[in-house]
Amino acid sequence: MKILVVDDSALQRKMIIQIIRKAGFQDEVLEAADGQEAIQLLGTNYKDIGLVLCDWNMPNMSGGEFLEGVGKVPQVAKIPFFMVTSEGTDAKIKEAYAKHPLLRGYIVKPFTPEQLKEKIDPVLKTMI
Amino acid sequence: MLSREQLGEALKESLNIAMMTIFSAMPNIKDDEEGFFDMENGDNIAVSLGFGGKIEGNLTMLLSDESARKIVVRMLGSDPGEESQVFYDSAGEITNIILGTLKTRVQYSGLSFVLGIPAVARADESLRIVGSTKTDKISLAVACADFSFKVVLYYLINSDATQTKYTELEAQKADEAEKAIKGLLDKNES
Repeated sequence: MKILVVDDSALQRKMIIQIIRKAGFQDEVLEAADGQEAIQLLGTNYKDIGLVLCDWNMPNMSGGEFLEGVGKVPQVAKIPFFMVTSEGTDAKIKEAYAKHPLLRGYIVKPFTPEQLKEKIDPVLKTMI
Repeated sequence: MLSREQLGEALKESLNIAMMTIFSAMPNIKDDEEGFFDMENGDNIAVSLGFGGKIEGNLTMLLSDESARKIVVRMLGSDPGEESQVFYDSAGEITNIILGTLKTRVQYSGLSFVLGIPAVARADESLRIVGSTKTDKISLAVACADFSFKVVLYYLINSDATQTKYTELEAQKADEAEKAIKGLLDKNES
């Protein structure tokens, strides 16, 4: 199984991948810098992707737009999807779940490695 | 509506939360009311993150290459070498987190806004940022662990019309995303 990490910050992607690796996940991690790149990777790898971690504010296509698109397509809506974003208002969190009712979790930056690991661990354990 | 002082306090609290969570270190934050920033000599980075909505403006973070390197080392646990994009990303990510946290802290004050994408500038020697006379300004000098930086928030209060425009645009792009995903799935399955 693969994990898709979507964030326009290369540093943030590296940090998230470090946490995933330390948690014991050794298979392929796909990286996208915006929603458009994420669509391409998801569209061609969706049968192998077991987890998506996605930022909200990105150029070209935001994580919110990508999230809503994913939520509307049953074949990919079932893939565990976590928003990982600095957008922490109650309204934004509600909006995310409205866009994608099967959204697995919402992680607000800043977070510690332990906090991220704790949130995604139930999904990671099924993939390791 | 928040006063300038309340907004300044919310910005300081947001900085505290960001620094404590990311670096496990309490920052020293001081008001820095100079009309411009004159950074130490050497390579400097400025990252500016715009925002729009009921309150509109930008948050600019100024720091030296050396401070950016120390931030990256603390965030990644290793030295990135000369990978300059990672330096920019570190400052961009911090401005994003500070503004995101600020947005959460002021969410019930009527000051809703949408975050933009960070833009980066760099200069070999001194770097000065000056704002428009139309905007209010809050500027702070921050020292945390072994690095330091300055942040300046330029802002003005808007009508509600701008917020509506962003929401409509996002819905339109989500439809495009759905079509693109379905198109790729159909292509792969045929």
